[in-house]
Amino acid sequence: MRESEANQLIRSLRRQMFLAGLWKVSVLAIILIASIGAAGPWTTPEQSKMLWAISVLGAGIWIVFTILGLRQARESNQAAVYIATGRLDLAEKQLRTAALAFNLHRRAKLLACHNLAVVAHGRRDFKTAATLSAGVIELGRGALRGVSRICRILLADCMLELHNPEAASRAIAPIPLSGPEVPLAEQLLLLPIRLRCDAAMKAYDHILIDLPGKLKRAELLDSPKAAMCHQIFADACDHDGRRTEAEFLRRRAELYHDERGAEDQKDLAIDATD
Amino acid sequence: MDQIDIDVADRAFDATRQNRRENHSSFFVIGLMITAFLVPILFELDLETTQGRAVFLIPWVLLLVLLGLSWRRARRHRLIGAAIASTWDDAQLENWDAVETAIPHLIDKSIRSVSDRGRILVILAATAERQKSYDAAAHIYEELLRERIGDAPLLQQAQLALASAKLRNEELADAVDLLDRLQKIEMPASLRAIYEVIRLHQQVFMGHDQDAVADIDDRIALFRRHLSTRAGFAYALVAAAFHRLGRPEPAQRYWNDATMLVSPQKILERFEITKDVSHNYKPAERPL
Repeated sequence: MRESEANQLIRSLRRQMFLAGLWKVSVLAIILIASIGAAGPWTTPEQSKMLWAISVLGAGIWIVFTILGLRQARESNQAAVYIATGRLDLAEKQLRTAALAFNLHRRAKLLACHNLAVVAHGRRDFKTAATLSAGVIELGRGALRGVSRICRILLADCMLELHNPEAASRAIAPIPLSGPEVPLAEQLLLLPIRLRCDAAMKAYDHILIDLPGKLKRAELLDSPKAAMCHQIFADACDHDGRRTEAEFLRRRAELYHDERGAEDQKDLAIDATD
Repeated sequence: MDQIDIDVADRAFDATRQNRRENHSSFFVIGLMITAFLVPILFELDLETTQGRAVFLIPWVLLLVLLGLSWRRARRHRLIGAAIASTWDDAQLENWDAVETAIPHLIDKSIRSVSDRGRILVILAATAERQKSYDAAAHIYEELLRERIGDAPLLQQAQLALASAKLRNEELADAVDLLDRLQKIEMPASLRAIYEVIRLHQQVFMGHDQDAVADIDDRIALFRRHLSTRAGFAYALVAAAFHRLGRPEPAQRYWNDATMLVSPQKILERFEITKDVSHNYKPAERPL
């Protein structure tokens, strides 16, 4: 999928979601009016029976569309398995179908779109992944906070890869780094990206805010990411003149991972400013 | 929280079991609703009267009742799921006071999601291990594996945790037997690294120090690559083995690495066997 196709998909999703909303309101209104009309004293017995039949038909159509929507949601969930096993072409095909099919469930469509962004990210097509993520964030506003948060993190990662740390920082700005509203798993996804953004923008003071809390979370990351975070903490301490802490953090980084890997990761963040 | 023993664990297994009668009220309402839909079709209603027309409204009222029941049930399970997820996060962050406060409220009610149930039982086992109730912890892991509660990665971890709990409970023959069996099973490298820590613990615990430090470079590389901060515990065990072998230089080096990653107090809480090392060697300075 190319960036232009991603843009087109988002436009199509926006239109479909509007239509699905309209469809839902219309069918609900028909069911409600027909039921009240059927029970009300102002209709003749024949009209009453007809209105009753219309309300039952409306409910039946609603149920059929709900079942079809759930089936599509299941198919897009299955695509996640294809992503995990590296069968990205198959995943993309299935996800495109799920995203474009008419579905009353907004969540299913947005999840399909999010998974398409994951596929694009896996292919290192960061522009497409960023477009799709931004689309999901926009369309999922209000509800779907969990999916939106993950998309923001994905968008920030794409922006860092595209050497745009300011945009990356803007994408994750609404997500707090700690607190009960964000699950720990998401905090752990967010921490390295936020540190990379701050390091790229040389916001060393920002890195050192709640250093013990950040360190505690960095300790839960896998070895390469923990090493990268420690390197960034060490650099920030150096800039702040805290040499002892910087030395301690640098030695820990060496213990987590071979230095080269950690430096490579850090360079990626620093390059972003160039 | 009270001491966790086998009785507490058994009660937790019983109480958290899925309540099969939970949906009965909804099924009853669905039955009534279908009947109410069929009444106007099967019987001739007197539509000249208000009562006759009111029959048309009954299925919709029942539908609202059904939606209300489903919403209440879904909300209950969502809240339980969120509480378990939050307790799981607390356990990861080692906020054990919060974990111990939450556990009694989570193991006394039915849990619909198998993976949530597996998680809370694993947290219960981890808390039992912290209380040094290793027999209760081993019992929980055994039951988890017997009933296959939880997803595949959780069950693989439970197998490893069971071997560790048996070792700590000094059921050495069972522990060694289980470790030998696990050695033959294919597992992801991250789990293999955890397996190697438990094997290392068993070797140091049983005084097989020479075995513990054989192929040490390969083991250290595995720990470093996959265990992140938890590698500190493994380094402490390696230091204990070198200390017993009368090789103070590598013992000091590994003890330094261990305490650089994990505080000596935490290492001692987890592996009492490293007591000698902590008395004989200087830990790393931790300015943070």
